[in-house]
Amino acid sequence: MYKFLKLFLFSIFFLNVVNLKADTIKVGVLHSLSGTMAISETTLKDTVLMLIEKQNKAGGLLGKKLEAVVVDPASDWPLFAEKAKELLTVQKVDVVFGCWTSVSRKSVLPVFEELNGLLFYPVQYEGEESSKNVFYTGAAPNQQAIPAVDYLADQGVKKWVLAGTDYVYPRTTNKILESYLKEVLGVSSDDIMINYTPFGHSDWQTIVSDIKKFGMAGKKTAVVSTINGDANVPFYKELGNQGIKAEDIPVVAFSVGEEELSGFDTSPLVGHLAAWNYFMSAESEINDTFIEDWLKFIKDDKRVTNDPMEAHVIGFEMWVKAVEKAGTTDVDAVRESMYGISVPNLTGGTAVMNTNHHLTKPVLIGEIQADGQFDIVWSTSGGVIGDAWTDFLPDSARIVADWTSPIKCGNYNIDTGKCSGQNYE
Amino acid sequence: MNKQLFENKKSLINNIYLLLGDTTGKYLITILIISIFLLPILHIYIPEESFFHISSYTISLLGKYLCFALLALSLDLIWGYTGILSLGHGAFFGLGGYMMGMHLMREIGDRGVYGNSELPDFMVFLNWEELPWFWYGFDSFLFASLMVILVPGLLAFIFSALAFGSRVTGVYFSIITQALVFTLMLAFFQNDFGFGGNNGLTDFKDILGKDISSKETRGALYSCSAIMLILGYLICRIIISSKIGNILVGIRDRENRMRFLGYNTTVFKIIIFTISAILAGIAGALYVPQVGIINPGEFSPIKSIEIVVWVALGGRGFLYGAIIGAIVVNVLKSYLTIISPEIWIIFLGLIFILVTIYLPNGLTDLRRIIKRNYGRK
Amino acid sequence: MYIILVFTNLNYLLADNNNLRNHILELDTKDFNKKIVSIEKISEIKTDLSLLTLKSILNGKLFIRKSDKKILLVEVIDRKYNAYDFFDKKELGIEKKRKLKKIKINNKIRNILNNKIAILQLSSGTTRQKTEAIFDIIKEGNQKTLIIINELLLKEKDKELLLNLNLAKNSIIARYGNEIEKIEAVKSLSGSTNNDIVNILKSIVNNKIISENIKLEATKSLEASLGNIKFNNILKTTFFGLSLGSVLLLAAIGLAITFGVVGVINMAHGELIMIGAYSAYVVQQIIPNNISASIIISIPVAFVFTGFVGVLIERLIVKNLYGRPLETLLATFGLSLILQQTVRSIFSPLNKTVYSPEWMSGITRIGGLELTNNRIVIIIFTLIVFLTVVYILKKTLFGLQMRAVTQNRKMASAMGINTKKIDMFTFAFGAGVAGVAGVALSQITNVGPNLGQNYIIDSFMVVVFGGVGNLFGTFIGAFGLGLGNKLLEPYVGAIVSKIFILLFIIIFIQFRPKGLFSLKGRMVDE
Repeated sequence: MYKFLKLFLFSIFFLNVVNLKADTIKVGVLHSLSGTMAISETTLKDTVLMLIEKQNKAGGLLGKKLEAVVVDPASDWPLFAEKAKELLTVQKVDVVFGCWTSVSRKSVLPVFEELNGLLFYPVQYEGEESSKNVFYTGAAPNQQAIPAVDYLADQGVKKWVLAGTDYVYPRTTNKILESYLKEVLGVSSDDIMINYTPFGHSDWQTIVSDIKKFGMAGKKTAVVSTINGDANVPFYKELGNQGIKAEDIPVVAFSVGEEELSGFDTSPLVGHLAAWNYFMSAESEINDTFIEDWLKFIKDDKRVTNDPMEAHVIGFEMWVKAVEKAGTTDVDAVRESMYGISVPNLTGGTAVMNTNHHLTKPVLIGEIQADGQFDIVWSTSGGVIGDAWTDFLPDSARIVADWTSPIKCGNYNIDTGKCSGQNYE
Repeated sequence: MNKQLFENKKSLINNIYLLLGDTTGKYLITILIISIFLLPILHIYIPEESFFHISSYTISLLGKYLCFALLALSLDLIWGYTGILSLGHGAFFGLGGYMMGMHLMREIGDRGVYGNSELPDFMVFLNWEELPWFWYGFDSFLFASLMVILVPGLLAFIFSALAFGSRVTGVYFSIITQALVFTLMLAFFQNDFGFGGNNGLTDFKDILGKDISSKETRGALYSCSAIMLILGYLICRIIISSKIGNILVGIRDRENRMRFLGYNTTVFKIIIFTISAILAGIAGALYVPQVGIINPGEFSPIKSIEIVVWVALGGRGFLYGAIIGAIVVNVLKSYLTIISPEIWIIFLGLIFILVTIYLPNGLTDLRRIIKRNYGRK
Repeated sequence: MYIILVFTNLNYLLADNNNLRNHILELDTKDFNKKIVSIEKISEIKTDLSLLTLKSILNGKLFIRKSDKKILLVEVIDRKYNAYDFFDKKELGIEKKRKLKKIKINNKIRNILNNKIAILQLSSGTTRQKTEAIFDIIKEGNQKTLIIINELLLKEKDKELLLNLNLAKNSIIARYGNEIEKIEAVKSLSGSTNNDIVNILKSIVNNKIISENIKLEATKSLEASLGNIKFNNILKTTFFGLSLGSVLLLAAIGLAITFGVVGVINMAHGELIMIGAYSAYVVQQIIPNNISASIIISIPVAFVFTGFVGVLIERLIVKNLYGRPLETLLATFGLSLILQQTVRSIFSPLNKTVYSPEWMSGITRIGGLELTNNRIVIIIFTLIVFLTVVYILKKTLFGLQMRAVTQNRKMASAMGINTKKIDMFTFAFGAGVAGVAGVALSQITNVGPNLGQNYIIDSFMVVVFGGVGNLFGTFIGAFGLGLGNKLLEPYVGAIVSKIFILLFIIIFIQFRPKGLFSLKGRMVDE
């Protein structure tokens, strides 16, 4: 009996052991290395490790070395929250780079807000959020979806298929697009087909044949795809097999990048599109160097680079700059100095951090090539400001985010003049 | 052949002996009772700098382990003692969690990002006009608590009455429980279903008017989890040490013989399955406020298989074994994911394999091995 | 993959070449409308190089060297740019990507290029190219193409092509001919299920200025076409169902053997499928130049390799657990975690490309019905695998011994059968079949560490629905569930149809607690 009690108390104290080393600046990496999301997130973990290595070679930060703390939340959402808490309280990291998909971010959000941590989220998402403790370096809907639709409409597309995996990002994006198509482009509801499929959907025969039927009825048709991850390969394979060519029915995707394309033969898919803020094929000195560094770091010259990686590069460099400017890694000080900071994009030009915690970035549209790369066929002339709250949903249009005085809030309602009672400050 | 899959060769008498000689269980309960008071006190009143302070991270982590332990216990009741393998116990856990999550969503009131007091955020931005009927009543904690028991209980009752009534047994029962949990996952993933789709329910603010992230709430939640685990353990103990327990073990070992002896085994099975589901639902309800999210991922068939793994690892057919199994696996998970994030899963897999091959009764065998080799002190 | 360009005729006029060169250089602009003008001009130059030019632009092989504006043909292999001079085909070695400029196109230009190439290829391509060309022409034919078609109609001998050419001809006349011609043409289009032709008919019916006679005929023809399409859709849905069923069957056969015959709940079954798929990937890495051969070779390779993994699993794990079958669930679950993460460490967590052979891509047209070749191949392949498995079980000594052990282990042992050995071989056999399934699945889905996870649950459903230990039940179960799923999908959507199928299984088991076809035993406790 006594023995068990001793063991129990010991284990509690063991849980409490705090790492007291303070001569490094700790950077948390919260990306799944196992489970369903590992396919996308492992690369991002490696990207952060590479950036840290590079920074340390260049002399570290504030005279200290950076130290990566990698954890595996295993694609398990409650585990994301647990690991976030561990990073912030037990490991006492100064900043966290991590998460993929909104549910993982939503899961850690209360943790970061409670413990006043700092998270950089690198993936495109549906918007409708602006937290004091998160910087969103991926695209908001107006930096990806709307420009893509504009481009296709310009190419003469009159009918639209909005196909997505049934979760929040596609639902919201499609809601926004539907309202944009109807109200701004004047498309009638007969010319819009909306379709949702479960995660990891693998049998696309019926849906692709429906799309074919819908799209071959005369008017020029395009598919706007918010299909997620695993389901894409069978979807594109089925498109190729049923002979849907990009010239007939182009598919524009928001979640398909170079890494997803590296998993299958793209030669039947030449001409299908994707909208991103970065493509590996972008022609610039800084991009060439980045690709070279990456291939060297990962020791595999067949690997590719993609948009979320660039988002981490931008986020990391901004954080480094902000820490240098603030002279400390204190979260509040760093946050204040983040606003207005600009770093070069890999595609040329500069990215700027806005006071709504979203970036100003250029939007590019690329066509898939047979070698799994994209040819950039269109780009915005300058950067587009990320809009946390879309203007195309009635409830969201009334809300703005601005974390500087006088608003100092992530969801300021312009009608009521209130920040609805969140536990902000 | 198939029946054989789900049988344990150990005799009835042997099991009763083991239950009477269950000292480990006594220790476990004593520790839990002490922790009900000790841990929250250490968490709330000891200053953070002190060595004895328990951080909010630790206490909610421990609370989470206890919820899993209760879940494992509920599975052990039907699998270990009645021989019914449910590969879908996550269904009841998740449903209990959702019921609590719905209440917590209603507690947010107008403090959501859109400031809408009528609808939760996820309904606002997907343009829902009004609250669906099945959300009515969840403003009340009492109603939600009732639902935590009723919904998983009713589902389990109907499901098991159908299945056991038509004498679905063995692997066929296991697979349809898997189908059940898979169905729930697909249904809850749908945004149209009205439970927030993949994002699930998050961003909780209060519970019973208290800030959900305050020290007092955390401590109280831990205590509740510990109390429920103890109660769950005692209920299971009472059931299995009574005559009913003997009948259950009889059903496990030779159901048809029990039936020939005149017992209506179906009724016993339905009752025990329903009790087990209610316990699982309570575990889910306590789990949600401590981890801060409930999402359809809880319904994934793999998670339900994991529950079976906890029980098997700890020692099937020993109540304390289930508790230990759940805690050990999850502690390992917590530690290994940071110590060796790249290959921890391989370690975990190896442990599962080695334990099954060398410790047929799970970790409970360790105690016997130690006893055999070193004798009593 | 690599198109070998054959240069037939190198005699050309220098003036044309210069002309061509200038137009190609004009393509070096960001304005896609200007590019279209240049391409029109290129297609009008009557040299053999103009077809090559158009094709190279389409395939993204035409580059301009930034330094001296030289026009190059570039083959990109493993991100290396092997350059050739476009005009004299001299090899120029590997060029740096940064020094080159690719002639970029977009979908609009791709469409124009395809049409131009189609017209040029109508007289010279292979039968398949010609067929594709004809269908391209139906979409955007005009009087100019009508002349070409008329010429071809005189020359062409292939019956199928003649039929399609006539269809193309009539589709053009229906739009551009005089009144009498139009009526005839519209009549002849009756019943065609070609999308473009249906669209042409629709536009005639909806046209307000066209004479009533033509409209009447067009309405009749359109009705016939729509009727045919409706009928085709029923056939198509059935085909989709069969193909989904065949995938389910493939995934489940291996499990039916290990689960049904040996009584092992193998949670690592999905990972065995994954290993099979990775075998296909590895074989393709070894022989990258012959995709057909690599796929065919990878079938036995996957069988043997996965079977070997099966032997290891049986010897190291399952052997210790016979008599405690439930524990195999736990051990093999651990194993599946290990296998997934091992593959992740060896091959990276990213999906791998397994190329499809030529005969598995494209469409087979049976009447107006369009069926995808890869699905046809997979259905046939599944049937072959299934029949082979049944043959081995029913007609070979190994099969006989295996069945004997399944039915009565003790008796079989008494008859001198080495039951332990049979167990091992059966498990290995089941594993091998799972590996073969993996090769087939590599053709339609992701080849990645999660591949197996996506099929394990479905496999269990199929085996249990059909009745454990009964291969025929598995067969009916797989096709039944596949067909049911696909028949429901058009009405309720993909998610709800899957939910319905699962609920159906739950309810069905209430009525037949031992699955569709149960083993009949005399004992109360089998």
